[in-house]
Amino acid sequence: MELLEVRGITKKYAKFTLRDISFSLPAGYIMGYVGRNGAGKTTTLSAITRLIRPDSGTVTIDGLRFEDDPIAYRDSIGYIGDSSYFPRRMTLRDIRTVLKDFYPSFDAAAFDALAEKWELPDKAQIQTYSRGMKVKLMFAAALCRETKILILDEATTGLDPRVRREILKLLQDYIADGKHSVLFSTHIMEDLQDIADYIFFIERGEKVFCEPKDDILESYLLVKGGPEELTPELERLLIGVEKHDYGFQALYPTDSALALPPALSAEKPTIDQIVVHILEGRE
Amino acid sequence: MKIIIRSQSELPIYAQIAEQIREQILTGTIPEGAVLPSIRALAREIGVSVITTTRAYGDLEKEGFIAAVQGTGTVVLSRDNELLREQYLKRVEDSLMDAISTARTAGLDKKELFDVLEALWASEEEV
Amino acid sequence: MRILKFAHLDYLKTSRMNYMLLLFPILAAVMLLASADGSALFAVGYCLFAGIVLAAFPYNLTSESERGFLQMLPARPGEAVLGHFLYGLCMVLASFAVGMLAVVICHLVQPALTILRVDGTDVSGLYLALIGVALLFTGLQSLLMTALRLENIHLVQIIRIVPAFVFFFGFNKGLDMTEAMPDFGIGPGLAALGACLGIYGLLALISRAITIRRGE
Repeated sequence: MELLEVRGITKKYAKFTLRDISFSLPAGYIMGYVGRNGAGKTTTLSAITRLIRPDSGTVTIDGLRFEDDPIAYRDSIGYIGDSSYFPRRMTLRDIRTVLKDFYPSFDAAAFDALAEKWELPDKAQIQTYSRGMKVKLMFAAALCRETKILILDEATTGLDPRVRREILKLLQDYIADGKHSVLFSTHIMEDLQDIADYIFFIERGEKVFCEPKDDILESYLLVKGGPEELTPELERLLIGVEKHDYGFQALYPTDSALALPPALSAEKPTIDQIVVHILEGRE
Repeated sequence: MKIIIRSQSELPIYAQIAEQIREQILTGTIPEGAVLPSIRALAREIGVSVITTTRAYGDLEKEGFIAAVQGTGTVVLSRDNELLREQYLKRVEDSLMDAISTARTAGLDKKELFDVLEALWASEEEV
Repeated sequence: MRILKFAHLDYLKTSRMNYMLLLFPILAAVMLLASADGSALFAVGYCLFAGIVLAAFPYNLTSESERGFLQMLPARPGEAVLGHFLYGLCMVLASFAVGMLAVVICHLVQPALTILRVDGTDVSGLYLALIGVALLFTGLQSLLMTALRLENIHLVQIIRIVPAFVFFFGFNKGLDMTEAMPDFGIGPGLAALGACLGIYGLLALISRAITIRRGE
């Protein structure tokens, strides 16, 4: 049984339904959760953190369901979102007090050290913080206590590349002992390209695929060629063909029976390109 | 130990890592008995995923270059190792196949090829 | 206990607004001293009104994402709401205390201003009853805030203010009625307060049940 097991999560809204989402994430690994805006990433994560209650399905963290022990369940999750959830008129000191009150494993000294390192002001109200500072504060709050899993929902969106790099290193430190995992939803796939072990791709509330990232990268080639080189036979085989006046670009599944004509240019795709072409292919 | 990942490379990342470590072991840059960084430490250092480094090490282990030793970590195996010899042998064969195929294209016969081999071997020994 | 910690959290969230706790008694005292036939009861009621408004702040200072923070804290579902009710109780009691303090100071300044007896009638219990009524409205307010998760923020703000203002106009009217009232001593006052506390507790439990049913 893996650290995070999600089985059959379903949630119906007026205009959107999250349908039968299942996956597992073993301890010590990073899973990227990718998809378009509105595809269901936040809904899935909210169902896992229990910000919303799923209509059906179960989630277990280290074997524990929310219903079995809501306190331990919530304690085991460190959540970092794209907007600050700290009450905006509170200060860093207030937040430290609250964290100390509610989380027995909270390390106030480590928190202060991190706040100092990141130059987060002690007495200013949270609403005066920049976006980057707010994200760092959420990280400090999550990292300075014992958690089993970090869940990030678009946490790096809108941050400058240097800060994002710092955060990615933090995530790798977090999983370094092999006992913790990270679930990282984003539409900035460069962040996942290097460090994600698994990728879950969701579209319109349903799973498209959930595989080890390396396997996904090996499953496709990005091919490009001239307009005449796109035979109907080839076009049927390729995924998400994008045509322009002087050529085309598409994904070629490497396990295809049909060999790739040598005239075409073939290169390794990025996760981003794979996702984009698959989405195009589904339209 | 030096590891450089090139995204332009045709090889998947795990293969690049494995190849570079393999090279350095074969040339002795990484000595036998050396302890390699753990899978996770390496992943964190070069900024790739854990599964990637796991696979790289897995391949190297299968080829007989490294082994996981309880309590110590991942260790570079001695170079008189049987599996290692096989690796070297395979490389020799590959190079010789290349040479043979080129020789045929150039119209050289077996004797001429052997002469080249002898001359090269002799000059290597002098160095 | 966690409920205490939630109430403490509410305090940390809203402490910047607590200047109102001082503002209202000062205003009340000024009004009392300035008018000829000022009623100490009115002054205290005025301060209690502030208490009801303050009790609502943990709710309205919370945006959607901030609500997430509360829900993520490791606690049983429903404990956060009970924390709100506890905070509300504290705000009402605190406002009563400063109100009484203001009134006592006014009495010292103007001994003609009577506190416990007005024109010969014992109204001491009315003070306690007033706390009770304030609690009723605070509880109702909190219940409304919990139950109504409305999309339209303006609508929410209006609905939020209603109990406090009903209290304000209500007790104004009520005070006029005390002109021709019999003695209402400490005994009946305590009884009234006790009953109201009971109802407050009930409202708290109902709010808790609503929260738990929602799955928080």
